[in-house]
Amino acid sequence: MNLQWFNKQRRRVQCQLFSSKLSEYVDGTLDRDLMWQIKNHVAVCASCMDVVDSLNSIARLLGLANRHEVSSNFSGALEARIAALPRKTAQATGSVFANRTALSWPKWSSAPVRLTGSFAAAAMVLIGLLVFMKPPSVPVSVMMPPAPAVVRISDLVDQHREQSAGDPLSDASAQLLASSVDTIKVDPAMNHKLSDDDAAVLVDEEM
Amino acid sequence: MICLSLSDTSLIERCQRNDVAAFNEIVGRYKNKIYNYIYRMVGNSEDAEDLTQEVFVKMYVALDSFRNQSSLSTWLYRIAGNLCIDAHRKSSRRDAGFGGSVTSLDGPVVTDSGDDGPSRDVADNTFEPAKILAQVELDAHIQVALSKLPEKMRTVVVLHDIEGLQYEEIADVVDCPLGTVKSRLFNARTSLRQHLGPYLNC
Repeated sequence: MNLQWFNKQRRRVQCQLFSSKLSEYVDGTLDRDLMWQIKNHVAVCASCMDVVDSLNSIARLLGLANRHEVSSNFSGALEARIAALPRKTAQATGSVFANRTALSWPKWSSAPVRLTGSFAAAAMVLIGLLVFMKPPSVPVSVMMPPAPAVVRISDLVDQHREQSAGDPLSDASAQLLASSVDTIKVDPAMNHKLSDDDAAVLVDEEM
Repeated sequence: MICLSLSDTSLIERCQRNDVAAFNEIVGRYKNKIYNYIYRMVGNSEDAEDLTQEVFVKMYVALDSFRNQSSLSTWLYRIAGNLCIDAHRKSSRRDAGFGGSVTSLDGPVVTDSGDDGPSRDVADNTFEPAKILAQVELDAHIQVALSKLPEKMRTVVVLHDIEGLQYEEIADVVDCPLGTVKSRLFNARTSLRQHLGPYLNC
């Protein structure tokens, strides 16, 4: 076993270790230590040097390949394709590209815009209803009996005297004074507190 | 013109707010990159242009669902790659071979505009017919060599060596581990050595 044999075995092992890394070595993407080891190996290994040279040439050749470009009517054809999309997917009508002044895209093509618009419309309707609708009337309690009208006898007498001096036939106070006892309701709670002139008479509303 | 200085993220946000100019800017930025990638995958200009338009149509339809989890370029390349896979499956069922027609080295050189004549899009503007013809012939050989690669290997080598994407970006586009990208790239280049051997020293 001599040094020459040892070096030969070492290079063989390194070839097996480094062969799959030669593409990355060409691209310079390995870490510094590994780059240095492969560089030293390639310097003494003819087969790996040959692989590295050809990989370099391939990468360089492909980098020099022609750059192909679209045709001159590409934009026009693309515009036509988008305009021809079904409305639910395209959400666009007519031309949307500008070699000329472009039309705006449809306003509702995005969900946030649609949502904002819906809220705005609902707010406007609500404001309109609040402004133009009549306020509801105050609910009247129909269960409570009508408040009794309190009429003083002395007022009726005074009114009778005035009317009888004018037109006795249309004297409502005389009619009232002449009405039957049943139609004149007396508030027992108040009667004993008042004098005759000031006795409160509860008149039925239905009269 | 304001869109020229905007980032891809800003352009996408503007597109999502119905900014037509932003959409136009995105198309302008990426149409040739996507077209070149698809051309290398399918091998003919007509199919490549049709699929490139389809990429932007799909982008247009799916704009609202884009969430910036990946870059715009990754998203577009991914759409393009999926369309190429679908196209390849259809053509495989149709003619049991490589999808679309491959540029013939013996036939006349037909330009994208339909005219006969040795004119392709080249980076060098110097008008030297022999140089142009040599470039066209080399490009055709490259395309033939790429067509012989399995689709997954072709995807990786085109994205890396022609389109200039990094390993991580490619892993994101094709949705596979980084190690897989590296090994596919190594295998693709090794295969191309055999098909492009005579041209390696050009």
